[in-house]
Amino acid sequence: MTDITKLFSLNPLDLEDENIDEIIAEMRKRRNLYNSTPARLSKSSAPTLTDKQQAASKLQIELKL
Amino acid sequence: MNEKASFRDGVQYAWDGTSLDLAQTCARKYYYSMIRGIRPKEKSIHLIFGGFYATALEHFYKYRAEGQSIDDALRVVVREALVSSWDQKAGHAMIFDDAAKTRVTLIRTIVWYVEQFAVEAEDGLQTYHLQNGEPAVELSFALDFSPSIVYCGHLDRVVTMAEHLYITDQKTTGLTVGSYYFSMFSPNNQMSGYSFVGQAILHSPIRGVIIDAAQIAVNFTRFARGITTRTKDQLEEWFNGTVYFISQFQELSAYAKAEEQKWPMNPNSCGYYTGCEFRLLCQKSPKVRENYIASDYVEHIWDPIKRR
Repeated sequence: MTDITKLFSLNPLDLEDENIDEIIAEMRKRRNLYNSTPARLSKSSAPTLTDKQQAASKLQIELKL
Repeated sequence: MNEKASFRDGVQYAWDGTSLDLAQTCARKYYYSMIRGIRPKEKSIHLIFGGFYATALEHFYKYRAEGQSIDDALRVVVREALVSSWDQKAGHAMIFDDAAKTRVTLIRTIVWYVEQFAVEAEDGLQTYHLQNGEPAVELSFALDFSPSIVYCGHLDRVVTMAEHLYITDQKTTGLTVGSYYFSMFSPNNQMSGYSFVGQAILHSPIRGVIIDAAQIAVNFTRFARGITTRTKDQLEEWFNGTVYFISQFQELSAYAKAEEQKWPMNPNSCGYYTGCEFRLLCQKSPKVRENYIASDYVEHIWDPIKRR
């Protein structure tokens, strides 16, 4: 993670656009990191009831065929 | 006390969701907020954080409606939020006395919101355009509810989704954002008021309010989008109830004027949310209360009819 503490400690009126972009980029990076943590991944990739229902209905169709 | 524009002869005639909530919650709370015009010296961090966040998103959609790209609009609102949360006199960042709601998490939440919601699918939310071609963002309104009641407010943004019109609103919370959280918005004065007024000023049916809620935690912000809808009958019920309540309250106001003791406390509401901001004051003996007001409270004028 980039250390943006220094940018947050400066008077924002003195910040250049590049500094703001740096802060935004760091926040985006943190979001990607948060979304890719194991807990989030396992939650989002865990089979949902809908997935199971879909699989069951697909199986039923195949059996009928 | 100088009379506010929303008052005539000491009685409030211009109302909004905030003052209506105050009056319905506790007459004494209404008295301190609206008649005395005071608030604690230390403003609630939740209000400060929520205010900065709401302003940032309101401006974001305004800049987008003016034609700025997502990245350009985001850069501007992040800069604005950093400036607003900087104490120029003291020469340092404002101190946020909370573990989760800080200056850094404010900026994080603004950036993450834009990442999550700024790009809408074609069948997603689209900003509605008024008949004159202007985007329906930052719309102030004042609508006659009765000869003695004007209802005022501000719609941040009107959107279309699946050919229906909705008002949008943003909230921040420390609570988990799920069905329990969204159920708090029905019944709810703010949301019913938006739906009712939106319909009246846009001359089109409004389905309800789309709420983008942000759960602020120390290491993450989690978003959820909820919709609270109102039927025509529900809006009529809210309107009738509101006019009745305000009319009754105006009678109390005309009787009580600026006499504290004539505004009854509602002790059952002291613990709502994070606790009433006047609870410490109400805990004092009436005889010494003025001393506490002088030392611990500052003037805070909330005038519903004043346009932003």
